[in-house]
Amino acid sequence: MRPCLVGIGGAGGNILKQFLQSQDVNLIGHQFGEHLAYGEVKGLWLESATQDTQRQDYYGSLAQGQYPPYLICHGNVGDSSDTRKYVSETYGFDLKAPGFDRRAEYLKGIFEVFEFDSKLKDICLKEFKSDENPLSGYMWRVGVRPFTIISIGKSSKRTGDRADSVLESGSGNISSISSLSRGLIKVPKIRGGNGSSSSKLCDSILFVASLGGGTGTGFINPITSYVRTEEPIFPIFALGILTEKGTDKRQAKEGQRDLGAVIAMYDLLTKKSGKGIDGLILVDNEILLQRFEGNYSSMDACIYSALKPLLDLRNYPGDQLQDDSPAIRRVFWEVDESNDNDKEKNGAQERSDGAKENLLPPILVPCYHTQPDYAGDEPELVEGALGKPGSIFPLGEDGRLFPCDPTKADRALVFTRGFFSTKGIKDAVQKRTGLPNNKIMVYRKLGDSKTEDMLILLRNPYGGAPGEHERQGTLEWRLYDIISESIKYIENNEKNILGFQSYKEPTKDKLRAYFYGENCLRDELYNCLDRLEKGERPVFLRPLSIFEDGGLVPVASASCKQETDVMGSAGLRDLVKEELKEILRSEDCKRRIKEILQS
Amino acid sequence: MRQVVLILILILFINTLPVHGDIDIPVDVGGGSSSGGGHRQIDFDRIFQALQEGKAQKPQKFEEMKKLLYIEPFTTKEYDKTLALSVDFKGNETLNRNQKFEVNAYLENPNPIEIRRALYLELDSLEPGEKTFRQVNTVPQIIQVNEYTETKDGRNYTYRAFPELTSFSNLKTVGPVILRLKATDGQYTWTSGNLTLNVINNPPMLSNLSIEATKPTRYNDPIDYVANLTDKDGDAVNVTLHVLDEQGKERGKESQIVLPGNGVSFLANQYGFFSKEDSGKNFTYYYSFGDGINVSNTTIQDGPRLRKSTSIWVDSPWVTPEDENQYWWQSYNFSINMKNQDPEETKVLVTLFTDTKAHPWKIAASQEVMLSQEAKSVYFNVKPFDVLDANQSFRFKFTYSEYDQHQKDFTEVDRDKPINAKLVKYETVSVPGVGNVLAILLVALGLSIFVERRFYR
Amino acid sequence: MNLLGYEISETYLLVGLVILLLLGRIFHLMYLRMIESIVRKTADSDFDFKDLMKSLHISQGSNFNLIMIFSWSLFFVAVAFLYFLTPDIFPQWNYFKFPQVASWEGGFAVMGMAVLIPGLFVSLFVPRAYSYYLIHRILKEKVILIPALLLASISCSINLGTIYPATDPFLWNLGYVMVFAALALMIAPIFVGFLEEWRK
Repeated sequence: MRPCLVGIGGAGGNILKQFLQSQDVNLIGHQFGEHLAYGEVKGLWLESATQDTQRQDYYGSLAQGQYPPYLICHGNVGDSSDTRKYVSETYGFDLKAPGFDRRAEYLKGIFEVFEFDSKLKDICLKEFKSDENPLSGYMWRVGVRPFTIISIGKSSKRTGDRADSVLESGSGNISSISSLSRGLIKVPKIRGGNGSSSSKLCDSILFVASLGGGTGTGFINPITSYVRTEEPIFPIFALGILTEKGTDKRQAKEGQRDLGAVIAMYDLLTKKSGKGIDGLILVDNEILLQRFEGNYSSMDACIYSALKPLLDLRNYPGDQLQDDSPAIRRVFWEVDESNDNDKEKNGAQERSDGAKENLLPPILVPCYHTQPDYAGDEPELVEGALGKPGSIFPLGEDGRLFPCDPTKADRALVFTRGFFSTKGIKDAVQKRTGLPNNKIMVYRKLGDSKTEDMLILLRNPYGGAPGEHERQGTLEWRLYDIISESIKYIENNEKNILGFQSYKEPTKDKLRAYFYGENCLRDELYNCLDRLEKGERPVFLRPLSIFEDGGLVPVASASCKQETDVMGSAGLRDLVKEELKEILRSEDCKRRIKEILQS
Repeated sequence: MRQVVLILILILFINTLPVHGDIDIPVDVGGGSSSGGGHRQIDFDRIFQALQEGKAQKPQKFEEMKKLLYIEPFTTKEYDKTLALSVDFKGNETLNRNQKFEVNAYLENPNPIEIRRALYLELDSLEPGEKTFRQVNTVPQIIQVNEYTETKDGRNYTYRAFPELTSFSNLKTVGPVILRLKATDGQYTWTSGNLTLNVINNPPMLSNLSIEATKPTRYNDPIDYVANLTDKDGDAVNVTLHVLDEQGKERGKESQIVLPGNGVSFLANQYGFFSKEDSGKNFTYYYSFGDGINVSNTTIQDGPRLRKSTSIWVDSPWVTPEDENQYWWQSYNFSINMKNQDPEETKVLVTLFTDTKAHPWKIAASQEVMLSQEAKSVYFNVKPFDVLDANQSFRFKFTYSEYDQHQKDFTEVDRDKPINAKLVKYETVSVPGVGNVLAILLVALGLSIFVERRFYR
Repeated sequence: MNLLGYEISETYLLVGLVILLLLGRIFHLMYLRMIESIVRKTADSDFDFKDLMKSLHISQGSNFNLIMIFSWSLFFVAVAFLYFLTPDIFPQWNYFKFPQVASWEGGFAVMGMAVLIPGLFVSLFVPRAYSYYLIHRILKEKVILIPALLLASISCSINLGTIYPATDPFLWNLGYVMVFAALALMIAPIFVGFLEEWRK
């Protein structure tokens, strides 16, 4: 596959930098041809904080035709934009706000209002000649689409040409389009309908963002949703780096970041097929932090190395197309034929009335290992990637980049670089995971001469057994942790969440309802904990919105029965809590507790 | 051959004649047979039998034999004194002295071979202005009795050629020439009829008279009197040049034998027609020419007009290169000291030539200088060489339009030190040096960019 | 050239360059065959050698390709200048046989172009070989030195041409060493790839 890597936010930009390292010779900033990254991928950094783009010199402005480029998400919105003014005055959102203080709900809200506010759409139409979300549209049309094969045939000749000229202009460091290369003989390349070169454009998108950070967490979902309005089957994947524990450098607490991560994950994983991403690859920064002792550059490099087998274009002879993006996408969505008794739902969402709905995107956990080419064979590599059998903790000692139990995966996509036989790989993976051969997909790439490596993407390596949330090293355990922290944060930080000064009252009401109202996020998160405890999957089921039907209507809900059911368990929980609070507050209870302690 | 046959027949005949005393001579052979085995006599019957058999069986051979044996009965014949003798001439009867011809004698002798006698033959000619015939062939030709060819009608003839007379190139006059033959056998003498040939002469022609000399002409310049000579007869012509002074008096003449087709050329220097005292004088000339028969003169022609000469003095021809390296691209300063030996000032054209293997005697520069009695240096600061002259030795010479003290109009010098072999005149670190490197780089880079864009993307 | 006290004829040194070139070719072919052999052992199905070549292909980048095309073109120019500029080595075949061109200010450039154009035809094909190798980053960065080495060699040769008939053996030796070093660097990716495969 040849994805267009879109790094969103600070972490996304840093990781993207690794992927976009030039494989070419550095001619002191001058590039005679296209910038060459590993796997011939293309990249774009989306950032909302302008000051962050000024503080670096690796990325250049896409608007100025530099490559690798960055794009300010709200670059098309002028300071005196009517749209901006309306959104600000109506909702208290600033379209030109940076990352925003780790508030995922803020950015979520910004994008949602364009879905439901008809007046806002009118203003957009007047100002931007389109009633669509100007931010998403801008990022897609100007930023991302020109690098993809979708741009061929689209009426975006200017942007298509811009992508060509952008790609040829710079190297790792910013440089403007050289007049030398411009003045040279221009030979026509293999071109598509509107003149863009199809052979070098990307066949998929891979968003790279931190979950729990700022911009990345907030933008990844809206962009994806927007792209899907135009391209329902174009492969779109996401690589989410779950924020580490503790307080980050910007003093954002773990709970707040976990909430941001959860909201992002929630929104990504509840979009049904054709409406959102095709798969979420999760990486736990906590594992990397421990492995590399806080060296973020090394951590970024590790992620890059782990994905190289996926991006390597040197397939075995005859296997050139086996791992092109549509094929990978198809495998990501592949489900088993199952009957009603089969509890393996393969990500299928099921309503409580038993009816099955569309599939939901899978979670993929990357497990990576590399060794010198003389060090061993397939079982060694598999063990290095997945860890020894029966051992999933402590983390960081094997190749799993997110806590999980490999034996729980329902699919394994194995990407190797080296000279291995398919049978050898399958046997080794089967032995470790217990998966049958037909659920192990092997994609072999020709190796280099010194090392060999293996990337195993475990699909949905969780569920199937209750109580796994308590077993350290499982995916359930990690998700349980961040969801719990999120709930705690929600419950203990109402003022922080709702008290942001720019929010208008209607917005606050909406947020209140979103977080604390009926069928709210908090309640849904409690349900997620339940599912994790029971070993059910998928974990995230019901899509949630802050705004709907004109922007100021309460949160849409599922069927009443489900609502009742959901309400039931959550409401009961609340009641019990209140009761317990009352009991504990009472003098009688205090006295009894004192007696127990003294005895 | 016929004589042999006759002898055999005679022998045969003699053997067949009855011989007195033809008796059998018995030979004592010890038994004495009378069958003839011991008889030494020719058996005529056997011969006769053979003849008869031959006649019957080989009639053709027999007839031939008859011919052979047949002897014309003759009696002693009287010697026939008639002899047909005539001159056989091949060529034009009207001819010039150089034209070739053939003279043959034709004879017919009526006498049979048996009584013929050898004949002695001579060719006589009577030349124009002569009164008596002279014998052309000093040794008479001898015709032997058997040196005749017989025709079918029985005439005996023969030819004799006279290689002593093939043309009249020795004649000093033209006119009729009479040829005749005389033959004698020692007893009789015969004379043929006369053959008269008309010998004529075409006079020579001299045309395109001119003088070839540089102008203005100095007295000791190569002055060549030239003309074209034609003579239809191809005679060698004696051409005499007569040089006349201003008064018309002949001051010299010279002669040459010239063959037609060749040009006439009299070099004045060769014959010393002019000296220094003749400077400034005008002369004329004419030719007289004859082929031995006809003599003619041309009209008097003008020339040469000798210009006044000045005698100059030259000294110290020298060359100073720009530096001791003596590179081909450098300037060289050639100089020569000159002055006029005569009191007045005179203008002299001085030309510099350089000579190398690659460029033999190439003109380098030329200038006119005014010379007085005071000596001055004449300079030529030039770049006379090109790259082909590198590593070669060179000579140079000054030529001048007047004669110097050695009566020469040039001074030549050999330079012992050769021109430097270095070909490239610039240094590496110089504009051309660096420019070359840059040019190569830029072209290579440009082509590489083109190839990369065209074939590697 | 005097190497460690031994006089080595320039012709032998030229042969050395040729041998190095041939070695590069041989190593390249052997490398491909070794890869083919390994892949055949692990392949699931049969394949053509052409398919393997297609699979092995990897973009090295426009800068790298440009430098290698440029270098190979200049390599032939450098060798031609080293051996065929002055009559010192090949008296019968040298640039100074055309003295008018040799003495002209742009003469060296003319000779350079004359060699460059046929050399470019070789450069059309030779650098493609690199697309079958995973060239290490460090080695890739080193290729920038190649044009500099060749340029220095050409400059030495031009200097020898300007001082001719004088000679400077040191300059010639220096020029040769730089050409050899440049060639070694050009062959290095192939050689390294071959060694690594052979080591297996």
